[in-house]
Amino acid sequence: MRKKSAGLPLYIVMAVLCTAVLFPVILAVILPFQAHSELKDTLSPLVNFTGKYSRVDLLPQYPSTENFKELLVYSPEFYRVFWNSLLMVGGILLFQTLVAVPAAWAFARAEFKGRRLLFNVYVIFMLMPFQVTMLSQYLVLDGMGLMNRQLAVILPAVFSAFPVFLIYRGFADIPRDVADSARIDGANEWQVLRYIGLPLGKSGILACVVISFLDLWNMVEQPLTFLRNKTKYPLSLYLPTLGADRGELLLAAAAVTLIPAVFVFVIGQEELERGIIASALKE
Amino acid sequence: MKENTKSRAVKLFGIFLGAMLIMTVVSRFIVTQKMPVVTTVGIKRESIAHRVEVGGTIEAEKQTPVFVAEGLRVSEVYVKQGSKIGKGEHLMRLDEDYLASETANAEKELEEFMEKGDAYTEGDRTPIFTEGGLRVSQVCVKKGDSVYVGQPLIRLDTEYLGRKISDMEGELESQRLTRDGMYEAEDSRSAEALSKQIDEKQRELDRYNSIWNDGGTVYSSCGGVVTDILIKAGDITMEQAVALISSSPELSGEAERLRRRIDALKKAAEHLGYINSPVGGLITEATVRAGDLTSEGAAFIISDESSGKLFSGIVPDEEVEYLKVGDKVSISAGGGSARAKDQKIGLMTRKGGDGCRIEVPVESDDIKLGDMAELVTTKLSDERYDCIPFEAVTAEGDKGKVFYITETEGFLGKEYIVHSASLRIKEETGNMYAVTDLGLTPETLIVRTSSKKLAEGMKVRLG
Repeated sequence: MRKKSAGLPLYIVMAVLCTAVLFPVILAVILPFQAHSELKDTLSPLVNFTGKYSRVDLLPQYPSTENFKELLVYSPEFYRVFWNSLLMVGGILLFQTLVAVPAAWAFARAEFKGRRLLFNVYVIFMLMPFQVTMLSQYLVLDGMGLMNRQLAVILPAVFSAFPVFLIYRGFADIPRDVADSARIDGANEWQVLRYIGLPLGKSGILACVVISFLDLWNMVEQPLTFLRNKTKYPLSLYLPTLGADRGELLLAAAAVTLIPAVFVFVIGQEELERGIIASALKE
Repeated sequence: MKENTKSRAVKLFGIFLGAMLIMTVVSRFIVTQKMPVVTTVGIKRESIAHRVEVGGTIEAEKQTPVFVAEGLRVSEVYVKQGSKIGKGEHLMRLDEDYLASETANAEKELEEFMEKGDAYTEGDRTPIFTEGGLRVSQVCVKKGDSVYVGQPLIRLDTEYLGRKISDMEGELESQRLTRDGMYEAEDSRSAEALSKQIDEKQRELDRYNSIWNDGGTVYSSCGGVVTDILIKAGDITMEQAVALISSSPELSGEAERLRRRIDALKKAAEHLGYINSPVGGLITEATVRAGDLTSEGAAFIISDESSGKLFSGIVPDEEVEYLKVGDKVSISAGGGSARAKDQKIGLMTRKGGDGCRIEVPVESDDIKLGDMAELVTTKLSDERYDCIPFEAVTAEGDKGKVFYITETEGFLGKEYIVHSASLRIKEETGNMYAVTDLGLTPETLIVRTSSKKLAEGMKVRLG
């Protein structure tokens, strides 16, 4: 009893923090259900910069799905950018995994000179923000004639250092003896990776996929830098173009944009937790 | 439990993606169906072909006014505006009785005027003198009379004259005796002075004798008109003119007017009050009516058919800028059945604020005097204007609105957005409006037709 009451303030603090963190998400879900006129009143202090605070009714006065109808039925461009996003993110995740898994396996299992140094270089690259490498990437992609093509966004991301780092942790946890016994049984390096590495490092790979998805789904700088044609824009660039005067559409689009991320998170939650825990324990 | 949630999430995600895929197609279909389909046209920049049409009549080149003396009563009018008339045919008739009385009144008035002595203007006048100190017995002429050289003007009292002569002869005789005495007394100086007086008196006596010999008559020394008589019967003549005669007399303004009026009235009377047309042609104006009194202006204006034909009309102010003297125009008459092409504008004269009178000599046998006619010409403007087809413009008076399209790169590829632009209609030319104040480049696509009502910012499809 005493123990329970001693933890109560902590719970209250946590609940307050949780509410503060969740509040924008709740708003993102509630606001699109407001009717156009109500939403206009809600957003006008922000749009017109009147210096007043926006008052939000958490329960819409006249709940309406008009905004979603407008978005999902009368805004075909939304689907274009949605599939653009999915194509880019899917492409990146696929090829990123194909590249990162062998690289991580090599760092985790192969013995070669300078391995440690090379890995450290990888980590340094991972820590570099996009803005640092933007210009050099731009020049390279322009030289390759890839500018204004979705490949310009996909290609640099495929060789990202972060997935290698994450997957490396998963592979490093696999006991060396297991791999060695497979080799004794006549398995080559590819078979070791295929039958030993991948099943045992699955958590790390999937955690990497989930984290990368959530990161890539919201990427703005890369497409903004490398894409000029609106037909190739992802969702993350579509939303700002709607602007404040089409706020109702913007909010509905934002809510729908959340859905894939939520699904991916729910689907990959277990692996994500497992992967992170594994990395944490090892560290 | 977790696996169950996960597999359910996978399923739902799959359904979500499936639904998104379907809606991708459906949404595209719906929006496409909703989108207006428009046809477009470019802006042509060209000169305006402005058609000028001016109504008018065919008149003679020479207009002959017919004046009738003012203030006479009209008994009958035989023609009206538009009537054709031959030379010498009756136009109207004046009331003969009224005419006669007006003539008599005018003559009397002139006579009175003459008598007052103000009938003639000051000019070259010859004075007629006679010897002073004689009595006038009769004045033979009056003012205004025409006289010839040697015509008796004044008769002097011969009895008075005779007495005057005998008195002078007696005085002369006496003076001569006095002079002789002076010579005898050798007072030659006084005698010579007296001789001079005697000579002078002798000359005076000679003139009196001359008059006596003429029977006491003073004759006119020149031909002309007696403009003034300065003496009357019974008066004693003085050392000044007795009469003034002008060889080329000019009547004063009022007298001249009366004289002319009398002439006109007499002339009308000669024709029994009929006023006849001086030329053959067309009556273009008739200002008199039976029963009215004639007025000062022309009673009739007759287009003289022998002088050639011309189109006459009034060009409205807004059309004047398109025409100038020397331009070639077409004249059609008789509802378009008769046409004369390439006729040159002969005259354009401003009519204070009421447009401009235009005259075009017409050379065509098909077009007759008095025909209602129309001048037609098409002029190309020097300035070039934006020209847009009628169907592309929503016109209200001289203002209008068009929709034009801008091409943008949208999320679905090329998108066409409609915008509206206001304009001012300058002119209709063919099937187009020539417009100003549009502010668009010639490359701009103007919406010609649309399957749906358009509004600013609307997306459209090109048909």
